[in-house]
Amino acid sequence: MAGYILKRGVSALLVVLVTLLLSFAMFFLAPKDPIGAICGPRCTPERAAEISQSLHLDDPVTLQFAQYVKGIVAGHTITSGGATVDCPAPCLGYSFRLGQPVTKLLMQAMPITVSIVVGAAVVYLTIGILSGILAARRRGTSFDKSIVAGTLGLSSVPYFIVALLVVLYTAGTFLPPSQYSPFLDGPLSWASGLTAAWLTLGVVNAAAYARYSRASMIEALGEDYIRTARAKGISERRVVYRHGLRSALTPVATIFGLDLAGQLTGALFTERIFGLPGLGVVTLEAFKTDDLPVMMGGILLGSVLLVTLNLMVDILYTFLDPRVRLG
Amino acid sequence: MRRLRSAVAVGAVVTLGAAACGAPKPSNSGNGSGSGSSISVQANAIDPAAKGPAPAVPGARKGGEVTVYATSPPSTFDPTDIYFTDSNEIGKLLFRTPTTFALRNGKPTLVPDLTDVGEVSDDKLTWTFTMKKGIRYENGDEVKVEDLEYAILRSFARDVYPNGPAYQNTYFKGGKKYKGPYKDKDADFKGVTTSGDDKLIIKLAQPFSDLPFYMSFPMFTPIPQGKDTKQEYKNKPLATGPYRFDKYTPGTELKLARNDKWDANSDAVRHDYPDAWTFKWGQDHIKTQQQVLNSNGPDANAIDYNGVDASLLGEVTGAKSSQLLKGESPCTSGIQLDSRKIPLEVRKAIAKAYPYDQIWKAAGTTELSAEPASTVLPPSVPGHKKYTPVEDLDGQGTGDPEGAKKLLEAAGKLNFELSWYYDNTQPVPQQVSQVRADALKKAGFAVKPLGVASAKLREKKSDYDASVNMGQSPAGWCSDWPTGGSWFPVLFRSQSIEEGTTWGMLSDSVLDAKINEINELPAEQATAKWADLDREIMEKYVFLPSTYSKMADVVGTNVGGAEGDPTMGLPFLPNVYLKS
Repeated sequence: MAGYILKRGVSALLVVLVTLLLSFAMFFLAPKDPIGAICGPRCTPERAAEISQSLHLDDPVTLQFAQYVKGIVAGHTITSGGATVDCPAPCLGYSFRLGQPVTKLLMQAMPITVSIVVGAAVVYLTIGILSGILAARRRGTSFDKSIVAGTLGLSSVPYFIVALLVVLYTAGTFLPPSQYSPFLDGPLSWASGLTAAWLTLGVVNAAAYARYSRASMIEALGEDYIRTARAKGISERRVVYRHGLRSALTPVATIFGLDLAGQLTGALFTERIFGLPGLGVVTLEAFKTDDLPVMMGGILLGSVLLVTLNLMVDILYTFLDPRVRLG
Repeated sequence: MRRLRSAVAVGAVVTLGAAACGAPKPSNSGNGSGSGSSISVQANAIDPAAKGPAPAVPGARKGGEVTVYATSPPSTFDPTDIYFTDSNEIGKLLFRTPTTFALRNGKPTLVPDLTDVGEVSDDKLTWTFTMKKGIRYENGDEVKVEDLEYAILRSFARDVYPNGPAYQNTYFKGGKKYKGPYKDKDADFKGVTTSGDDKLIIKLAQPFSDLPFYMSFPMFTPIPQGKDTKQEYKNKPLATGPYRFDKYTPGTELKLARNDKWDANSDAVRHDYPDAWTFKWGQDHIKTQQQVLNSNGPDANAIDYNGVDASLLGEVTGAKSSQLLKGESPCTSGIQLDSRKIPLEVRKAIAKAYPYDQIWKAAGTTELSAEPASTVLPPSVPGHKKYTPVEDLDGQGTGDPEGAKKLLEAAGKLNFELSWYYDNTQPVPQQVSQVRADALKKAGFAVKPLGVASAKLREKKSDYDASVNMGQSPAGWCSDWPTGGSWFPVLFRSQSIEEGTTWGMLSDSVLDAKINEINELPAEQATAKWADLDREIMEKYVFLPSTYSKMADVVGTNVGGAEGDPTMGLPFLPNVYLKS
């Protein structure tokens, strides 16, 4: 078990390092003008030189990479317009455009994205898995057919259209207006401001989870060990929820891990449409304005989230499926 | 050049999607003129006797929170570095300056704010401004005249604040050499000094009659030396206006709360009707505009200053016309011809062939966002005179290729090569370039459009030694203050080439002398002379004007007091209130 986790951990770390390397390389190939974007059209040569120096753009590429990694591990000090800014580890650089350390910018945006994604996950896992299992148990009934038809219908409408309709016609009327206030400032206003986003992202994703759960459950309930369990006289409730569900949830957990990671790094439509300035919006704005340090920080954070969640799913497997643990 | 909001500004004003508003009424009912109405002509106005409190806006009440949407976040809130109109307008809620503009019947009038409007010496080279007493920062400290002096000195640190206005470098005595208080700590800079505890003295290298207007820029808001955090100051500037920073997330959101140290009785212009303001950036403008038009929940208290999207024209000119805020904007846009490389007869032929109407369509311009231009000064700048347009420079028409070809043949310049840069990564600039190329080719020119990526366009268009001969930056200009003094000296003097702000690359000592002469006159005398000069310059065919920009924004149903700020082309925020 420990060996398995260690192996997966090393593999995850390698993925992060490769992403770091690739994102770094990308900016030397892309036709960007980071100094112009940071400094504006009236940039003086002195200021351009200072920014270039702070970004280490004049150094050899390998040295630039080393400086960046050093900042992540040990932090460093940045000079900006005569001011010295301390950027503690993990320092992902400094946004000259926004006048903030990248880590601070991303950490400000992170709770918003996490709040959206986790809240929505509760909605879609609850609705999706519950309706999928019920549909599987009542396979062929009108309930099952209506679930299948409903999920197909919901999935066929592009997400951003559903989100736009919710924002334009329900937020502020049937649903509370969309806004973010920190959980610690008041759980009620936190939940109220995110309700529209949770329900929209949750219900649309629930359609997919209902289909996954239904298919997985049907497959699990047809397995030999389920027949054996029934033959042993175990109650149907126990057969379904103890034996069948555990097996059926394994593929759903895989998909959930990937979805969650994807949403954490790119709940862009939700954030932008509902006006919630999370990681997706911050990273997108950085791309629009050639804010090189924020772009790199966003990509790196995204990759860390992705591999961490994948690792967690892998570990979760060991509990859901003993074959992984034993293998 | 005052730059338009950052959404349209970088690389000079190319398409001018801005709009200003001209709602003379304090409420939103029947704002301004109709969709196709003309921009009105303004008179130059200074009211040196204006005093606080500002006249109450009829029907206004206190309370509530206003939300303001825009796609692009302001580039900075450091008052020294502010030049874009969006941060400038928001700055009106935060920063008090020596002088400022009041809106009277929708027209800007310069009034005293932190100081009087100044007195000039007989030789026109020394200005003295007297500071009011008892004005405080948000932290309770009293504003001192030394803070104002320090803020002005700070603006010379161009290495730290490269984007703010730079007239002080040209006009202030020693301004060309002084590098600001960080580098030249011990410099004997005589341009700005104080006397006693309330006199600010500015010594000039050359007469600058518009100085009181210039003193309305955020750059002139006081900054105590002990509170100057340099590059970090933009994240928490010290307020003197009716609101202060409450919470700022750079790039995405700014919340303003009331500044309880602001004294309404000392302020002739600003109000603090709403309890708070929230500015939200980074959302799609069509979505936020539709939200504001729907006015559900808090969106009834919202304003969107992106400039109304063409897709919403049906709504804003129909059932929801009361939510459309229209007005004026102090900008003219067009395309410049390099007089060093293109002879006058050829420039006339270009004007004759120019496809104004086709370009209007290709650029997606609407009657709400602009009207055809035929002069340098837009109508919203005092001194604008609507003279009979110089032939083929009326900003309208589909072009006359046959007539242009005859002019070229007569000049022996058939197949004269015209070249320009355009953004080959954006659809609108590509369309505009194609339309222009087709029309000029048809008229007998050889055309050579050079497509470059967005990231390189600014650099290419700013290079006056590039191989192209038309379309270099700036492609538009907006008033820094409402007189010709922020247009002609900046755009048409020989030094404009060196400063990177020329229209037409004119280098004419006679014209330079004429501009300098008018520039030294008091604003009220200069106004008529700028208008005469306008026509004289247009007759040189160095700039083909296309549009005067207008403001057209949307406001929620509960927003009152919204009117256009013609100095910015944005809603005038200090008068806004919530109806209920």
